[in-house]
Amino acid sequence: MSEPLSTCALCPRLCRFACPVANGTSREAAVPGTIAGVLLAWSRGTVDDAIAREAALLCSDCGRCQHVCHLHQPLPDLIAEARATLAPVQVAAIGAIEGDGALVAIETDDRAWSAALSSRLGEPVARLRTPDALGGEARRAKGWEARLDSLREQLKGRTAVVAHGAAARVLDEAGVTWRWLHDALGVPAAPSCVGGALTCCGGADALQAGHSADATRLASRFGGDGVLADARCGAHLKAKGRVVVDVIDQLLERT
Amino acid sequence: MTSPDTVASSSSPLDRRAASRDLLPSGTLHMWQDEPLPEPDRVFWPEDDAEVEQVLRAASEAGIPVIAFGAGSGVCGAAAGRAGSWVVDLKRLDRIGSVDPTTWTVEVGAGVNGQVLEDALAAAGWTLGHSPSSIGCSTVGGWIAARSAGQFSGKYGVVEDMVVGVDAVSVGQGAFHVGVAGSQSPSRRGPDAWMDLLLGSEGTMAVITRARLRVRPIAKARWLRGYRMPSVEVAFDAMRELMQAELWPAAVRLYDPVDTLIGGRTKPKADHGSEEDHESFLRSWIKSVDGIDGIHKRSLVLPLSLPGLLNKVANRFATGCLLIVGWEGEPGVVEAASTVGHKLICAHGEDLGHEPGQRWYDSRHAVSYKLMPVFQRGGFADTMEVAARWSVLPRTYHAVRKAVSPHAFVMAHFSHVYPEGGSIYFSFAARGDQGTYERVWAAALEAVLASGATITHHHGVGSLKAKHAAREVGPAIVGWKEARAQHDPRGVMNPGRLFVEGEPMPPPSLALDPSDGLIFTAPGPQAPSVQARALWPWTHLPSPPRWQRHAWQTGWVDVTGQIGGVACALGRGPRSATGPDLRPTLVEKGADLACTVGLAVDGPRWMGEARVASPWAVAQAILRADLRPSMMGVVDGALRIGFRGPAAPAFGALASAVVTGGLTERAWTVVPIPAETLIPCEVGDARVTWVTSERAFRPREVADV
Repeated sequence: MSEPLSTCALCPRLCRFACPVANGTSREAAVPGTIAGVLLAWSRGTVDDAIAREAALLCSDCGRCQHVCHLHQPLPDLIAEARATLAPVQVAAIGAIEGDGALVAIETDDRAWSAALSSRLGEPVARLRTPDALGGEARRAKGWEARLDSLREQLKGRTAVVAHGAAARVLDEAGVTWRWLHDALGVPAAPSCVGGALTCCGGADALQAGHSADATRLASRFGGDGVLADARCGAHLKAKGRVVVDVIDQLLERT
Repeated sequence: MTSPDTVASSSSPLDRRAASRDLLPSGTLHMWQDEPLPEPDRVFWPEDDAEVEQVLRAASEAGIPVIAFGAGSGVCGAAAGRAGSWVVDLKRLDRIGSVDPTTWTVEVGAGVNGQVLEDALAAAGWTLGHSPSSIGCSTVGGWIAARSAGQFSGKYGVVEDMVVGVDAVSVGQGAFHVGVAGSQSPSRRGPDAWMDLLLGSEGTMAVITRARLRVRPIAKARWLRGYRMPSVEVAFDAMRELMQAELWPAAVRLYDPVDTLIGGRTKPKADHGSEEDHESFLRSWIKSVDGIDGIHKRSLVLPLSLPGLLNKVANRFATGCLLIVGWEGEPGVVEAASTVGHKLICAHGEDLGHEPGQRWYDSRHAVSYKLMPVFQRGGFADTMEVAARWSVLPRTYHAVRKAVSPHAFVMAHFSHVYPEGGSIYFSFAARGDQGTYERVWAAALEAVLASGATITHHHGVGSLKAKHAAREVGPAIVGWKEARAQHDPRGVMNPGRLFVEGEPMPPPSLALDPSDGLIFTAPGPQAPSVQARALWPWTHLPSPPRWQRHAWQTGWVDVTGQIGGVACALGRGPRSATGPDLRPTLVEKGADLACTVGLAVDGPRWMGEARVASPWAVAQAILRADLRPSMMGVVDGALRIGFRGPAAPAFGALASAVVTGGLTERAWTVVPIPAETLIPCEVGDARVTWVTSERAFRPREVADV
């Protein structure tokens, strides 16, 4: 990993403005280039696992640093690769798509919304239940490519509809066709929630686990007008006591 | 004892490590070579002025050094880690206020990221116009503390031209504001003189927490073009003529022959269009040589080990320079200025069309990506930006190249020009350890000072230039020391940076060359004979505070004298970022004083007059239409607007179109500019004696005291 990682470690941190976690927490440690520096040192054996793990978990895997980088450095992948070693997680196997339809609702929590979407659009919508959001936390872990192959096979010729930033990123990586739920419904997304080609508000699951104060501060910064497009962000905000309506809530209430 | 424990903070190894380094390349070299960096003991994230004050007081009482930290993008070490210190990370001071459409200003927290600010302003149709290549990785507070300059400084000014007010916190003075107060400002107002001392103080006196900044509507038109110039010297002539003709381009950038060769930028027009034109010489060299077995990652080791030879080879093959010139703003003004400017430059060089200009614009923030391959392949890279008047620039350019060439590969570009001179931005690359790094810098800075230039134009001082900065300002350092004693009585604010006193150095001779575009005068009331020749006819010097001047109006340039029998020369160019502006100190405490101001060169003049109901409101409308009058005032109830230079008639016609009934052409007269500090007021107030794009001003009255 060292050549691309060293490029990011040596870079003047030019992508920092785009990182939702670095901006949300104000921590220098969360700046993508700083994380790269820590992981480079860890790969050389001069930083211990505990520090490297904390750094790797600061990344919310939104992909915006790569998106704004003039060199398109694959830093999110490099961090995910390090995280797979430093903080391995077990994810469930991809389940089977249930039902028929050219559209497949990717349901990431206990809200079942494929039927409501079908009713709203007037066409059959299948569903894929995945409580771990397609297992994005295990990106770059052993078996990751097989997981992507499984997704490609199941979604061949169909379009996934998604309301979760981490799941969207997995679909992006698999190269399957997908669209946001709010786009399918034709409703505007909150400005803080969606922006750029890769979308994620920085719901930062890792922060919720390890840095409660940072997570609270992040939660205080997101929201605003429009519907929350990302259920991960919605869950994050709700966990921090904010009253929010995300796009799935809206769909279920209006149908 | 004051406790800082209610302020968010961390002493975790990760946060301390993250605050151990700014972008000083020697720190990058240490990091790359796995050498330990000095880590602070604790990092604080204050959310308001009170929390900043809480941390500063606790640090002062405990004698703990404090480093104010924005985004750590400084390349001179002002925010570098320091063992045993506390870091005050200001990124939670991140509020961006709404643009005030009446005063064309916005209130911004010191921790706001530059690109985040620009995006927020753009969403509402405004721009700050400050565009350093570090815009995505720097903060507003850092810009002000280190006196940043952006790539469009010709139009929008350098950062201190944009600042109309600053809020700050110090141990000695608590929370205070200087300049124009904002909605979030502390009620306590500091003396106007503190503004010059805060800007450029690099965290050695107070922590800047907020600023009021000038903004402008987003430019409706942009014009960019490239020219191939036969030599640096010829290009200097073209740039000088352009600036002294008062055409005010937003960007003027000259790349010397080696930089042009390395960047792969300048090709004759006929060569354009092939893919290799768009890949720099350096990148294509690395790509081709890295492909050879056994060479990968070491491709620069050999050439950088022989810098003298490498410089000779590069000089042998480098011919011609690329000049980029650009205007932006209101379409009529852009067209008038660029039409005349284009003809002027074509008298010196070959037109390469719009493409090189557009290419530069599209990649204008990418320069910082070029340094990583040098470190990765066995070397180190650094940059040094200096400034000098026109007649000194060639001497400085050649002297630095000669001094550095035995130690490092060197090239340069020239990215900020003024009627009175310009800056030089040197890039070095070398192979070696910390000793080599220090030898390169010592040789370069000695050559700069000996040539008569200022050691920094827009990167600030930090630890890297602190000894040479003290030598440059000489006895005027007393102004900084006295201010520091008021604000930081125990000396805990960023100690050992900005100024480190050592061996004194006699100042350079100030003899003027006609090309400098300067004239000698002295502080105090300005005689009509001086006003008649001056670029800006101030009623007296020093000129008024910055928030009362147009961004493009310079006051004095050089100020010379002696303090306690020790000679002192400040300025040394059209702009210096060698710490705070200590020229007022020299005038206050010095003897045998002299100064220089810009000279209005001979050439066309156009002046118009109109009798209108609210002349100052009309004057402000002309300024907001993007015009820059050389003369502006109300004489006997009539508005007078004057322009100089080859585009004067065209600018006059544009100004006339703003005025109901137009301007009637009349004989040229000098209209002095009030230099005393005025009081902001409504533009319709009958007492108005001056306006800027942002506000109107009237004289201070007894009732105001």
